[in-house]
Amino acid sequence: MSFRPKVGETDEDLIRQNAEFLKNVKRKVEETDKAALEGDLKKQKAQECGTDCIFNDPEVILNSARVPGIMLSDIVERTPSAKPFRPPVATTSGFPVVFKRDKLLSQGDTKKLSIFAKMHQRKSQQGVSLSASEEINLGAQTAIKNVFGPSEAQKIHEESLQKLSQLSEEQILEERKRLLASLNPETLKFFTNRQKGKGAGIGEEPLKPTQAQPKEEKMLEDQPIPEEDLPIPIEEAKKWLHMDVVENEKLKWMKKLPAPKPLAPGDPHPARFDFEGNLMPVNADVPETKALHHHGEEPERAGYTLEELLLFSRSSVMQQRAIGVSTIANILRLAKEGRFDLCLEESIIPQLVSAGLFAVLRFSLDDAVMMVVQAAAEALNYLLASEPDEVCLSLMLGTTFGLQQPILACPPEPEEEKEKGQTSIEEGELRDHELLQLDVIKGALRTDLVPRIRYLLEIIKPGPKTTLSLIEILIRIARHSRESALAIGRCPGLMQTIISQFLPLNWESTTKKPADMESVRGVPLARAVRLIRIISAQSKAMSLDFINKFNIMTPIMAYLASEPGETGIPDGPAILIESFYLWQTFLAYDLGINEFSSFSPVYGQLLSFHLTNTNLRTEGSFYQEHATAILTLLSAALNVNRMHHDKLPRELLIQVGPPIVKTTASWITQAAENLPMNFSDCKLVGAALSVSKQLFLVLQYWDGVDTMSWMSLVQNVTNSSVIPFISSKTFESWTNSMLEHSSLLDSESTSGRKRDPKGLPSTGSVTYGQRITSILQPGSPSFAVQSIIAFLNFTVDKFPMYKQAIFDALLKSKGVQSYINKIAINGCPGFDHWFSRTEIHLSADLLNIATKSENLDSDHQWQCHRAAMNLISCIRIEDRSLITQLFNTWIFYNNQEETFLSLMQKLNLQDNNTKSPLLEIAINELPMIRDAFLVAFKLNFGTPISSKNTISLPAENDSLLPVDWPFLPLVKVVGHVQEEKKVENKTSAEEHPPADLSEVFRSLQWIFILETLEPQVLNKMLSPTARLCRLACVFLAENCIFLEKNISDLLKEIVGALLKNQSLCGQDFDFDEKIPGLKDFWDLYVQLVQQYSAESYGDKLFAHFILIPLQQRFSVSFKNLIWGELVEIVRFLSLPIEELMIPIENFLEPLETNVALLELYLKTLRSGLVKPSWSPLLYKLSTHQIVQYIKQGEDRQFAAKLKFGLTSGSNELSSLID
Amino acid sequence: MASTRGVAADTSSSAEPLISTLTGDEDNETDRTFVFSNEGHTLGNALRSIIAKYPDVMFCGYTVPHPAEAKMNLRIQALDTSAIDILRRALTDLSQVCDHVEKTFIEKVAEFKEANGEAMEIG
Repeated sequence: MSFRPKVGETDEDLIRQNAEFLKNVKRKVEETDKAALEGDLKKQKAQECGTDCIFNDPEVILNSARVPGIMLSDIVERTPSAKPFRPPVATTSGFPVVFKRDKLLSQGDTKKLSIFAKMHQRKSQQGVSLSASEEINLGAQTAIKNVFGPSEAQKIHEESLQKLSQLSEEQILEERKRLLASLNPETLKFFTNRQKGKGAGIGEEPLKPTQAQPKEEKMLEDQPIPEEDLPIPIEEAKKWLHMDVVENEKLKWMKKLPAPKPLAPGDPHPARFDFEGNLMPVNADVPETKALHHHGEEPERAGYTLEELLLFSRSSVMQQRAIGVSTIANILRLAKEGRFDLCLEESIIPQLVSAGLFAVLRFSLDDAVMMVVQAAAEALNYLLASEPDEVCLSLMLGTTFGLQQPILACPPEPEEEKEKGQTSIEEGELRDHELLQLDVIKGALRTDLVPRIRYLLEIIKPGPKTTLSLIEILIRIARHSRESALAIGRCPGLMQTIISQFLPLNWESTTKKPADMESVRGVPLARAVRLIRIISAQSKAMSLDFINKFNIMTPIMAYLASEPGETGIPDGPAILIESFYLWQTFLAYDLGINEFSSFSPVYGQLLSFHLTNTNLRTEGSFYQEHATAILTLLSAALNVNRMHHDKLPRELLIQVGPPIVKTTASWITQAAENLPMNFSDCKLVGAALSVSKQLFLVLQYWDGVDTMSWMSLVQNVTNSSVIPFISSKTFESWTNSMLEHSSLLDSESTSGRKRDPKGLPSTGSVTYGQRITSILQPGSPSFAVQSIIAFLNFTVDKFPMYKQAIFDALLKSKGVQSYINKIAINGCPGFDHWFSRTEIHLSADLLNIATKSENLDSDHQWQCHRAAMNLISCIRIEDRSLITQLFNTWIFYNNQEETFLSLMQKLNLQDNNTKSPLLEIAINELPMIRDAFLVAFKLNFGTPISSKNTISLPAENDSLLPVDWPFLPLVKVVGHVQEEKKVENKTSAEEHPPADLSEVFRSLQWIFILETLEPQVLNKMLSPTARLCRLACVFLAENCIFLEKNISDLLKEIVGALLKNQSLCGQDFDFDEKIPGLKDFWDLYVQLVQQYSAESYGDKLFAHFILIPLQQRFSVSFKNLIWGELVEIVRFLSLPIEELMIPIENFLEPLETNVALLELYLKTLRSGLVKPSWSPLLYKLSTHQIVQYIKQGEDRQFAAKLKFGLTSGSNELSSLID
Repeated sequence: MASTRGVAADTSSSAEPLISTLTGDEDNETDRTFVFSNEGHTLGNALRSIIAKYPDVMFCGYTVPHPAEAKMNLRIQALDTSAIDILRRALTDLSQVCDHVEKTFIEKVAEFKEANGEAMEIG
């Protein structure tokens, strides 16, 4: 029997099936479309080769080749029918004689035969009547048959019988043997088969009997089932309508289901889902009427497994297809919300993606049936886009960094994987299904998804739900990259359709929600605005197109001008907010400024409405959101390049400035009253403060602005509102909850990405375990706090008289202190999270304020320094100014000399050995060290002012400084010599020119300071082994820089400190561990050894790097290398024992038991390469190990051999044994 | 160790000398880096292994700084003997070793041929 291949089957299964299949001499069944859907071409290939593997026997191949059609194709050639062809009998009349029934036939015949059959029978009885002359000779074969005829055959048969009877038995057997030998085995088989299947006609094919086989089996299955197995007796069943033929098999389906076998909790079982996508509890007792039971693998359990649903989605029954796809859509929606996070063994979405779900859905989108297309659009939306992500990104709008959008492209494959022999494959070379695994969106673009959506939206005009889904899909595609955004924007007809259909200038007033409407055509859709905003955020060129080609500003201004709350647009509030932020996106590119000018009268009205009417007590959140959007629009307008300032409506801005500041003050005062504030309220306060600050900063350069009165205005706000506020209870509770609402400090915040497939990243706004990321939870004050701290950062400089009050309120607050403390101790585990960026700014500003305080005690200073050290490697390239700021303050400067010196003194009290003049010098030269690092990271030029082409940023944090930044200059000096030693941060390693000596020196100084005074910080950055490897880079550098006195002195101190720390904190070197930035330690070591024997100048420090891995506790392979393959080095490892920084016992104990190594020792000793005069340490250790083995080694025979070897050597050696 | 980095001292002359030294070790006689032009690992490794046998040598190493440049650097650091003397000695020894090898080889071949007859070809 052969079956269709199933999903779980391996290649072996398929080959086995194929073999069975051939054995049964069945015709090859066409490969099912199932395999094609799996996209697994390998399986198919394997099957094809499989036949080759099985039939390697040439005879078999020949034989099978002789039977065409069995293996090769569907076409079965048959030998022409042996039956004689009868031409119509010639008649006289010109027509065939009319068939007349012979009346006689019907009588006296008991057999039930048709009249025609009887006629035919009679004719064949008279068969001889056809004369040979009447036959037409059609060829030799027919001729022979005709010549013989049935009677002839009879004659031959009789003749043979006669002959047989004459022969003796022996003769017969002999003759038979001869015949058997001469005949083709195939023919023989045919004859024997024929004999078995008695009565089989001459013309029958040999295939027939085997073909009949499945039927027989079916017959077996059809055997009557015991009555008690049936729900009703058969007799009863027969009475039912259309049940006259009772099909037992189907009748059995009506039986009561057995109760599901209870599973122990913790037992793995396939997940089953209901139509809503909910996971069914495994032991749930669900009534059958819910339609969740079916004849799958476990009919007694309710619900469908993913496999079954995927099968449904390809069903030929339209309803099944629709149900399958829409159930998958529901599952995906819940999965993105994190509903299944902790329930399933494997993440569900990656599983579905790798099973080729995208292809299935994409095919369904091409379906002719609207119902299926609808379900497929929904499912694709839930597969590609992430609803929580969109909601969270919308929440971010109106905060300082809310406008910038994440680029959700697939991270490029890590370098190392490429190095492992797999040359990076060009995207064009990938097959569709391979690309879909690597990058779903790229694969989707290749399936012409965008043109299909265009066709659906323009021609098919689906219902509102589908339309919204399709737009969501486009939004997610646009988020992927600039290229994909352009693919949407430049798709012919797509944007035209969307803008004309969903962003019309006139619309009918309605109060329904878009999803409930009959058609969303001609109705402004917020989602369409969002799509345009996301595309614009990706590309400036597209923004220009939107403004100039599509005239997008006209509808946008029309929406904004309508009375908020009375727009009559379904989903009106959303579209107003989206429109504002779209405009801000344009302003970020210095576009849409003229429109702002012409819009200014309306803008002024809207603004004054909010300034007078909106406050934190206003119900709901729409008015606050609207006010935030209006204020941030102003701030975006002020942010445009100064060149364009004359295009702004100056009069209006100068006029609205003071009221804005005053209202801000009143809002802050209101906030201080400890009102329950929601997220939007916090955002409003934050936005108002930012705008006030910015107004002041921009307007003071304009003509006709009374700077002095502005100054006093801001001062007034600071004095009367902000400072009271930061000492208020509200602010205290805010700062106290900062830790709780921090994404930056939450180690769980990036866990949401765990559920994403590799080819489809998200921002992971819902953490693993179904919790919204901390910073976006309701009541999170972080965005407001960020604005307040940024404002304070600015006022501290402007109004020094409030300094003390600010420090007292801010820096002494418990919440702030524990926040900084947490950064100092735990670092920033969540820095890689999109939503953490605000917090990085917040912390950096906070630290900046702290620098300005003179009376910070040393503990706090120390804490700030630590926090800055941890923060520095979390900062994005875009925020590089923060790095300079931190370098200039907490890391290298700002009384750090004193801090370090005091710490040094503390250490000196404990341990006099630490005292080192080099350390003191290094601490005094901190500014120089800072400058060197600023140059090394190209921070000395300030932020380059370039016209922005995009305001989107990669979702993954590409921090400017790698974690091991102090070591970077060291690695860099080897970087261009050795290619494989790439640093994590590619850009900085490649772009920089070869480092000069001073850079290495300064970075060594810095490492020295850290190694002696802050080993914990270094431990967090890199393991001691990794540090050792990085230091070893100095020896591999060109020009033998390790010979420079200052570098070698410093390096020696560092190694000493490193060895001390490593033994102090109990962290041993582990040369097998994966060292970041290095392929493996072995390669580095071999390189070091070679370098030593060639260019070391016999340097003692260099010798240490060779010797450290030779200690007895490390792998024997290092020793084998030194004493075996590269043995010439032992002659020159002439480090005197007294200068060794490691205790010599480490080399002598425990005793060596490796026989091969001992043999190497002996061989080298006897060759005279190792002598006490030039390699004292190695001489000592090798003789020690040999002598000890001779004394107490396990293998006595070998010990005797060693002894003989030693005594037969030079006098010196033989004297050892005494 | 004093600064030993520098460029070849005698490269100014038009015909490149066979052996030159690197600057940086002027203050003593015992340490030198010799630059052999048109030489490579063959000579470098042989010399190094011979010099490694001299008890008064602290360090000896050789390198071919760039594979495309036919230059070989040989570093000698000795206890009291001057480096150039060691080099001289090493070269003499090397030549003697080579002579010895050649002599032994020819002798053995002759012996072999005698024993097995002229007709036997080697290799």
